[in-house]
Amino acid sequence: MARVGRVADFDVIVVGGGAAGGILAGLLAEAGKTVLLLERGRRMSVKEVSRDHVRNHRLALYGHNTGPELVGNPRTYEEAGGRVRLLAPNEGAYQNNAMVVGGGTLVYGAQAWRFLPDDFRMASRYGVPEGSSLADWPISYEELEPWYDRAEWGLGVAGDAAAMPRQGARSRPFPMAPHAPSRPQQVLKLGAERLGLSTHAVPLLINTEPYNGRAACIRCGMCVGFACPTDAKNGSQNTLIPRGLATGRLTLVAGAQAGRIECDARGKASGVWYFQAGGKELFASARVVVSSAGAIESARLLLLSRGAGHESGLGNNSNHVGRHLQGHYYHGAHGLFEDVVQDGLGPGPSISTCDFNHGNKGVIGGGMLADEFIKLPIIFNKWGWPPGQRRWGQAAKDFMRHAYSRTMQVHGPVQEIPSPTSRVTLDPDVRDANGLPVVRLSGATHLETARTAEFVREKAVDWLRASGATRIWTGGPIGVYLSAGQHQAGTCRMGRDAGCSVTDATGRVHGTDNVYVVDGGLHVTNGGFNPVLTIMALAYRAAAEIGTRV
Amino acid sequence: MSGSLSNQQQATLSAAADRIVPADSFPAAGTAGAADYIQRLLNRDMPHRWAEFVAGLERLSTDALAAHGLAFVELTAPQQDEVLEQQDGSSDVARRRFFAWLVELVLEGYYADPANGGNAGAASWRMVGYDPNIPGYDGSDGNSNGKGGPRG
Repeated sequence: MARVGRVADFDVIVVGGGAAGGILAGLLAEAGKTVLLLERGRRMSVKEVSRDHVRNHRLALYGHNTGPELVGNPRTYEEAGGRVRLLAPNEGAYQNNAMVVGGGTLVYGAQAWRFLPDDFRMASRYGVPEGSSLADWPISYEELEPWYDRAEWGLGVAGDAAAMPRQGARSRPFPMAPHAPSRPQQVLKLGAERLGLSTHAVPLLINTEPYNGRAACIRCGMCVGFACPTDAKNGSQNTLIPRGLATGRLTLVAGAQAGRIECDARGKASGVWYFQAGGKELFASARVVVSSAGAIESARLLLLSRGAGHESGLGNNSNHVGRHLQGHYYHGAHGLFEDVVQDGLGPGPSISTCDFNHGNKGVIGGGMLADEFIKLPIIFNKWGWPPGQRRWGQAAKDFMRHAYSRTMQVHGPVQEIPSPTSRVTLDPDVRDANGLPVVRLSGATHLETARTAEFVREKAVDWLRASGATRIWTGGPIGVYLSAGQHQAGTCRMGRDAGCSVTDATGRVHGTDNVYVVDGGLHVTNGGFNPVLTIMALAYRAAAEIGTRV
Repeated sequence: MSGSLSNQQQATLSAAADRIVPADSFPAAGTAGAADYIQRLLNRDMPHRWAEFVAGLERLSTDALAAHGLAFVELTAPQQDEVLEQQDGSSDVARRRFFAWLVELVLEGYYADPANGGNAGAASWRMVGYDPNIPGYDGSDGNSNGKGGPRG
């Protein structure tokens, strides 16, 4: 492939236009910087994101409704015995996140959680289990709080802060009130009161009233996995990216895949080599380079950026790039009630408890529990089906007809205990459509994660039972596996000690002067919560830091 | 490489789908378009599995003929159920696997969006009480987010 030289010079190049990169690029452009935002996926209008029930980011049986395309973007997984499996993007083991302008924020469920103060000091609170790489963050909740606040008000979050006593101190309440209560919320609230659980609305990056010039949520039944029909779901694609573009200083190149950060032996980066749609390779120069490609692809980009002084990849002199890959174990229970408990009011998650995030006897950490998004009927049929219930015949149809509106699911993200063997490396054999080595995934989470998940799952069972469920079912015993997916984190962990981390506390890659990672890869641990608001807060914080440098 | 089923194969498939999700006050899966869903799916997403699918369907037909001396479509509903039960519980892995696959495909078609071809008129959504609640969207166009309403 012929290299055709430089295209332009920018203050900052941001790789990846998702939750972090889109926000960072927009904020820096507003701060007067010239920014190049490279995004591998396309720019898609709401209407272009299909409503196919079997090809979307919730149920991807046969594909997705954004990138990555099924052909040309493989990954591999190396099993414990050494066998290597080739993975397509719609297989679970691929650990996909949406590849599109806006990234996951175009199609996510938009739960807007702050991590708790103890989530930033897991090793101090619990000690470090043998074989795990559990560690404290180099920053505290208090240091991140102002940036959480800016993300909540900048993008728009609806919630009830006054009802969340377990959360850390906050500057302001949420900018919007939560949705009016739904029937599942009322049913589960009664059960929680019987158990003495504290509950509150699930904070959402969704407008419950017109906000920032966009409409309110119409409470449709196709939220998570799809684009919002009223554009009321707040992502980077409808907030900071358009704001940045409006300044004239942000250049967004969609369909562009970064291949390598050019960095000299002293750690000074000069720019990024990238492939345009169609495969032409270009170089753009900048004073600061940021990788916001998501935990998996940011690790890949650092590993691909080998050179003198960083022979095994940028920031990888202590061999931590790509390790500690984590997401969330997501376990819970389904409960069948005698009466109809669903009213179809989207998006779904309406009531939650943080009582089981910490302080659980005999396990490390824990997780938030909440009710689930409105289930597409085929998702109920595939994922909500009780074990042992026959799949076909009149009885199966009768069950579907009866149970769909009488069943609730309570589950939540369990904080993972990271393992250094759960990791991203470069596959030595398989290349993508642009000829770059693809991601090879390997390893699994730490055993403690499964133990905590079993504990939290039992709490979901208790909550459903106390709420009146007459039949409750869960999955089988919880094993140890690699989880990352849409909540992927940890591969470029920040830390004070360059010997056991990839970046410093600002996200600057060790051994470099001007290369940053800003995405879930920075998370030392990933909280017992959906991580996107933390990723967004880190982007706000990084924009302030990087803005002072250029 | 696109394929299609013969009329006879389609009739067998529809009849089997009608037992996997039988008719009551809501339509059976075959009637709702199972054969259409499956043929479109094989052509679009897994053309490499056409031969496997056709072979499984042919085994089902052969087994029906062997057991009852009649084509599957000519059997009574209880006889058809008996043939399907035998596939489901067969000691032959190929039969068991095909039947499990067939059941999943039929259920997908029946409960997914009508644009995929197996849920005519969104009958299954009405049956369970699911409403996407998006003005102008009835599931018949997978690429539509409603007609003229929401902005892109």
